Amino acid sequence: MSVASLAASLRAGELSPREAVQSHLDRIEELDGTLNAYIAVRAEEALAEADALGHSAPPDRPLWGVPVAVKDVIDVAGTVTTAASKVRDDAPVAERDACCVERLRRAGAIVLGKLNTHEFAYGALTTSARYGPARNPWATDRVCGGSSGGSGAAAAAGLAAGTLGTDTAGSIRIPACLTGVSGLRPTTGRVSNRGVVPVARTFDTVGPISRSAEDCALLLAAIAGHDPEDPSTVDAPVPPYHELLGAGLRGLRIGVVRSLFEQGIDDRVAATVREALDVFRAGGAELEDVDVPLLDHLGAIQQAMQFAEATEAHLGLLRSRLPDYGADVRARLLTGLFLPAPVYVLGQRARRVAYEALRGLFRRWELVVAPTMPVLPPRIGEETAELNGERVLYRAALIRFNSAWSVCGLPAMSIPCGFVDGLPVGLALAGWRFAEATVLRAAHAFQQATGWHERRAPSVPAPVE
Amino acid sequence: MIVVFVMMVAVVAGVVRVRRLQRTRAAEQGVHPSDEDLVRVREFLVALLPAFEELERLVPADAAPAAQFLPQEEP
Repeated sequence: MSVASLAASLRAGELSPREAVQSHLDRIEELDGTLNAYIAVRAEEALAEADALGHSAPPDRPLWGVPVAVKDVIDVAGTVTTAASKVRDDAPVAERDACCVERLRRAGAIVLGKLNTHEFAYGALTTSARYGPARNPWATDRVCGGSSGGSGAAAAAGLAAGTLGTDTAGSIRIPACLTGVSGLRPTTGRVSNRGVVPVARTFDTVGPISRSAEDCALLLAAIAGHDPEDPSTVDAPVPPYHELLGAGLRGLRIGVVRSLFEQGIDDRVAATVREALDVFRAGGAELEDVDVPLLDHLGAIQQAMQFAEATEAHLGLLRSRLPDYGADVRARLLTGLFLPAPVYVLGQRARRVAYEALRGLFRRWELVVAPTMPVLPPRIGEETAELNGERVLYRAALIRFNSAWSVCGLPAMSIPCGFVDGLPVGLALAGWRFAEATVLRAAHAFQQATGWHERRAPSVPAPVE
Repeated sequence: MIVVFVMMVAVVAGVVRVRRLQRTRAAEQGVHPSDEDLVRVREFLVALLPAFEELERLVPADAAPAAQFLPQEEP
């Protein structure tokens, strides 16, 4: 069940919070041995918290009784935040919830557990040496993407009604795309990062991964807003995202990022996303091909800063626990040691140039659309993906498709829009800063007109409704 | 220019010398990578440094850095 339908059923008294939690625990028991979406399940605690909710939903708790799960870089009081790393084997139990978890609980949600991630959320595969790979429900020999791969797998397989992930350079959008669900990276500063293990502090963003845009709207409304303890959050009103979903597509001005359909992309993926654009046209939106300024350089701009910020965040652990990192994350973190400081400043100056250039683009277009990912998910254990008959380095192939929106801190969402070889393909929608309501409205209209988000992976039995 | 300098050093000095320099640079920061680590680091640097060099050419001299979340309230 989706967040929206489950919340409605709970509110109507058709099932109790305990029953909602228990049915998800049963499903985790049945499927997670294969999928490995969870690092830790809070079975007893979640049942106790369900019982403590009482028998009827207060009007100010829209997620009352809804079982959710969060990526294991997000603190949940009473559990260890592992970040899927051996480095944190002896980390203390978190004494306090992260801000986003506090807010989920305040909305009435129940946290089922902690979800698998690429080690320290610093990679796009979710194949932790310490906790094992999260497996894609659509093909269990393939990765879920990452870094929020466990969140994607859990949402796709119904192991939680909704999930939270984090996104630094695509880590919500990539797994949402590869597992066939909906994921929204909010504007940087829209959701507090307090209690979240950092990757690169000026890019990191917490956001929802769930079945539908409607679910993402409900989850985002619960977690968004200023946090006096996180200076990166912006003190701006949070729109009623769910109420604004129904505005439709008529009159919406949408730019289509032409070059992302033409270069560095599997032709079948490009054709699938191109075909999906007809839904927006049929709904009355105005679409036109556009070029994103500096598109081929935005990956470098992000990396000029991200390497330094990630290395700084880990410097103490690099000194004391270097051998305990997985080889790929260790290499990324060490690379940051060897980039001179002027590269970071260059990145910051280039970020300003990119920001101004994209601001110009978004003066003309309310949204831009593109394929979320250029390739299908690689097989577990492989670092390459197939692209039109050739093998390409997976991590390099995806940068161009995800960096523009991260560099400029823009809201960006991936929604499922079709299949190639039985594997999901995602469409990315991005808007200007704080335009989450417009992104969600367009995504919701697309999902009302299509059924891609309702497809279920063949390896995963349908949940009992 | 700095990126160009780093690349020139890498070419002129050769892999062994660069690795020694890297090891020294890492040790100065209290970190002690293995040879295997430095091979992987080199793969990243080979991909990154030319891209950064191109950025240097693209960014106008008068471009100010992006903001850094400094508090906006009045004192």
